[in-house]
Amino acid sequence: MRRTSTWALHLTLLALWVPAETQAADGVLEVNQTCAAGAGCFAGDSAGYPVQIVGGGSYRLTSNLTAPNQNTTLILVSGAGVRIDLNGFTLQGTNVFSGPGGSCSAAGTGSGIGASANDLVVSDGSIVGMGNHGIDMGTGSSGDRVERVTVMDSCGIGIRVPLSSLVSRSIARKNGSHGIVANSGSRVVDSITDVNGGTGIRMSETGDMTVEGCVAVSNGQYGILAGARSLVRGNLAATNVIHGIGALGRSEVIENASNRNLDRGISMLGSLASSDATAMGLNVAMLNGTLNFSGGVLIGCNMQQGLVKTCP
Amino acid sequence: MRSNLTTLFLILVAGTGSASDGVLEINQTCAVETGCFAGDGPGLPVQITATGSYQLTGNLTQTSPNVSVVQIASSRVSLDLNGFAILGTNTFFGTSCSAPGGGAGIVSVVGTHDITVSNGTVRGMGSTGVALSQSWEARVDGVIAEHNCGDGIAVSYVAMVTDSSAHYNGFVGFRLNAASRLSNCSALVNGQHGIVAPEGTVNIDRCVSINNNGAGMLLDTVGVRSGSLVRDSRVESNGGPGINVGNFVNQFDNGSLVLRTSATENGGFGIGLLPVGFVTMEANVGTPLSSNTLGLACYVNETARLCP
Repeated sequence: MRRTSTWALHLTLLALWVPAETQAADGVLEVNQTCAAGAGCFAGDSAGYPVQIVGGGSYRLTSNLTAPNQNTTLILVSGAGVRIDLNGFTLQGTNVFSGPGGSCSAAGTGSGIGASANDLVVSDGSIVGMGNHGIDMGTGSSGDRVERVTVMDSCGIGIRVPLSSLVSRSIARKNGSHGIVANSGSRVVDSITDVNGGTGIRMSETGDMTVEGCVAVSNGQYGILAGARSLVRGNLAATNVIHGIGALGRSEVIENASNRNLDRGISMLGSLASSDATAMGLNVAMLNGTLNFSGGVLIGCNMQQGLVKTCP
Repeated sequence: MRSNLTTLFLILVAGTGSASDGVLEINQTCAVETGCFAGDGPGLPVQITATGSYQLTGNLTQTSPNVSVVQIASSRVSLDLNGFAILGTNTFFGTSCSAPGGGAGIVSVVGTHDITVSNGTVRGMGSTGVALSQSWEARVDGVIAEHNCGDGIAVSYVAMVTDSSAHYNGFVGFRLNAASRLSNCSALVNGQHGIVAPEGTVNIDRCVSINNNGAGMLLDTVGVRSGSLVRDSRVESNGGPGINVGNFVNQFDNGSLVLRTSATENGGFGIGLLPVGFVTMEANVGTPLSSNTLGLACYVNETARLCP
């Protein structure tokens, strides 16, 4: 009897310590290299990459994930209402991008996180060296968020979010295409883009977006390119290859500094610009390659070099 | 059999310095006695040599002002202070350090990238509190750096510093480099300047810089002239200027802009020759903005309202 109870005790303890699935005590499902490359991390995830998240819930990395090649996507999300906490870990690929005008060392089809799912949140970690995009949430879903994530050396886009999404406190640097791409109704705030091959922050032409408190420096195209009816406020754009800030009609571009870009500092763009004016004010644009300001209707003063101030 | 099972269970439970979520743990006991994980030997500094996620599970105490506490020698490291503190013996109350030395609280080595330090306090180091000036793409979030004899928090290019404080440090409160973002910060009673970004190209908002011996903010001083943006901030009672950008001759062509910021009772001018709007400058020593030339919106300069 005593022997039986001892066995039972040990088996119970072991069962508690090594659950069938990698589920933490707080109910969060865990993802790590061992289960991801092995038998699968939880129900719905088959063996090998990508880790497939098909159900809503909370997921957490418990190790770095390493892509075996540039054509492997590491995490693929299809269920709505998913939260992925990268937990300070890194999704690591093999690509290195040499910078604007340069090339990728290992271009491919694999992304760090691929998704087409509503209400997806990715936070707190890094994604480096993907053959395709760093985070690709597609364009068809809505309500996604990317928070406190650094994406570097993807051969494609650093971060792409769908409709009505939020990118905050994130860094997109040295990605082969654009740094951050956001779709209609989205906000990109408090983020940094630097030396991406395309535009630093590119918003959908359909517009209705906000870019605020960001830094866009030395990107291969625009620093910030905003769609129609967007708010572009409190950003710093410098030394980008085309314009520092470009915006389509009915936008409001205020409180920005846009300097030393190779083409224009702040420019109104597209067919809407002439008939549906973009408002500008309280901006500084200096030492840009061609024009400091182009187009728009003044709602406040702007300044360029030589103390040249233009007011309504 | 029972003995074997018990042994197996204990092995499974004890592990090493790894929390159940894969995060490697750091505390004073393992730091000093055994090393906390592979690559870290006994004694300070705790040496982080592998990419991954690390977390303090107790305060760490500096054993000498000349010894750093945590050294990060790998890229893509996240160090969560987890509400704990890295503690030394130095104090600084505006004039001199009680225990200066060469040891930092957290220091990264040359060539590392993408390092995050968050959620805790670094106090009393012989040198700098958080020294990430050798690492691009650093993040510092929710950190208090105080009474360090060097800088409070120092980062390099493409850095993001948020929700952090630097008080009573011997040199500079926050030291930044280009293409960086600083928000929700306070820099108080530091021995030199509150916030410094020599190459400019920084976007600063919701910061206060008060009672520092030098300038409140000293930006873009090496002639790169890509400009900086300061919004919704306050510089007050600093020994030098409130906000100074570039060299005095060309600073209005620097490309910087200051909006909705108050500069009061500073020992130099309030805000250097910069485009401004909705700012208040009062009781500063020197009033370089004597006309509305640089006002993009109305501002107050020594009780006078100046509008474009």
